[in-house]
Amino acid sequence: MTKSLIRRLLMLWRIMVAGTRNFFRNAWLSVAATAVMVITLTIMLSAVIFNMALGDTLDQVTESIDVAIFFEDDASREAIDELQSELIGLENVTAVQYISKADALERYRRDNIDNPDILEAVSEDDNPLPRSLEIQVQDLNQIDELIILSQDDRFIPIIEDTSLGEERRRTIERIADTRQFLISFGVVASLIFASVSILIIFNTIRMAIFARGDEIGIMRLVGATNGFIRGPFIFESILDGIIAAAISLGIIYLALMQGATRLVDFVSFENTLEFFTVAWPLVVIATVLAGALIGIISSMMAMVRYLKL
Amino acid sequence: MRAYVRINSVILLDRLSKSYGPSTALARVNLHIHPKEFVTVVGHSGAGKSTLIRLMIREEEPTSGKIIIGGIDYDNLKKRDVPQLRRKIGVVFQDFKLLPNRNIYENVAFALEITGTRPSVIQHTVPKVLQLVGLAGKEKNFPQELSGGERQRVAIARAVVRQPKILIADEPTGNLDPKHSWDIIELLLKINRYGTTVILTTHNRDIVNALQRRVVTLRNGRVVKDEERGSYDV
Repeated sequence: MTKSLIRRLLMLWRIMVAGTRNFFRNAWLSVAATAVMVITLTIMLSAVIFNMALGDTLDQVTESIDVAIFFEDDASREAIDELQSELIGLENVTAVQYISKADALERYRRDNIDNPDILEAVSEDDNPLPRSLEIQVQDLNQIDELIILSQDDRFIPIIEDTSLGEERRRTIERIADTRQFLISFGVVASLIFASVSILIIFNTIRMAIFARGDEIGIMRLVGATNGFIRGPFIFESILDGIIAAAISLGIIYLALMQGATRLVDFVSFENTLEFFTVAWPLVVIATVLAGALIGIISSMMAMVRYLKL
Repeated sequence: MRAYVRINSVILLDRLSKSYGPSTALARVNLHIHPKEFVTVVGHSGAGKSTLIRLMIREEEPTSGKIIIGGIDYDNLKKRDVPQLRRKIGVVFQDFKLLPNRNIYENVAFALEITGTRPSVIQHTVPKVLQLVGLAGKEKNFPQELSGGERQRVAIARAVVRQPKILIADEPTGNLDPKHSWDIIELLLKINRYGTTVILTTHNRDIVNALQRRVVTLRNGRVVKDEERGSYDV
């Protein structure tokens, strides 16, 4: 290590020691600053979590929607094939699969394997399950073409029923709306609380600057550099951010572990949980950085305004 | 007027003027101070002593004129170089300017800490300097537990701990009784004997007359007298 590097590290260490000392000297103001920052970071993290979880929920619900057309037992295979080829021609349709009565029965048995009563109700000889075409679409919200085609005069006679996911689509819309609302709410609330945090830390540092006016004057007179005078203030507010980040992370992880398991039937938290457990260093670093950044911004603002060096 | 060769001056003030609006604090002051000199600057309140010192430690900038101290030409001094300059000049004030929430040892060590001095060097140097100013054993005391004279010794210790070439003492005895005042002056003389240039401003007639050193007299911002073995005559 070069001498100047050692010197820099030494100065950094001394700045951190001074900043920590100031933090405790300002204890009550520090508590206020940290508390608001906790709220800010918790809201930010919650917004991220809900965004992720509801996004996953949406994907899951969307994937589980079957778009299918069921046929009368007397419908001719030719007519079904004709519909199939016309469906494939639609832009929004990615695949169409023909399900025979036997296929349908096999699947029905598989789905109800734990339910012998239901299994007994159907058999190969007396198979009530209709033939169908299962359709995979790119965008569930754009299946109007599909509906129009299924109502074509040529096909009405052979179609027994359709499952075009009307019910599910409404659910999806609700989830999407909720997600959109939570994101907007999260962003707005985060911004508001971040501003409040900045304001409070700004004031904490401002008061510290006034309270330590003599000390700062003495530091200047004995030749302290501006960086060495500013450093402790910046570190003090970074400390606010780090402590706030630690508390918010505690709250969020506790909430995830406790709450997510209860909500798991309604919202799919699996991926979010996995992300927060596997990628925890990333989450921790991002949160601490966010807290530190808010601290740095506010203390810099206070110093530009009140610390005339 | 004494004439000095520029190159020999550790402090060179050339036609130095400072005005605050219409009022003139210093008018064309010329002053050359040799290395290792002990110079006393006297004058009434408002004669310009404080302005002179504020200009020398770059608390303020002159309206016109030149300052060269320790080879540093203030005209070329950037704002960010000011801390470096202040580390080369030790300054002692009438009101001590000690950090109240640090003990004596920490107050002196502080001057070294801000320059990135290693802890081992600090631990080695500070006790020696406290010994020099006669405060050995008071390391753990806080400024408010000391007498005025002792506090001024701490301030002097802090000013010399970095071994500056120049020590500026601005009314260091202003708040002290005669006995303590003399202790401080003797300490300054001792530091001067070790080779530090000392600039002292004072109101104290007895001290000036007893010192038998160079005296620069200021009146209305001008140098009216500059004598090798001067006396107090403002």
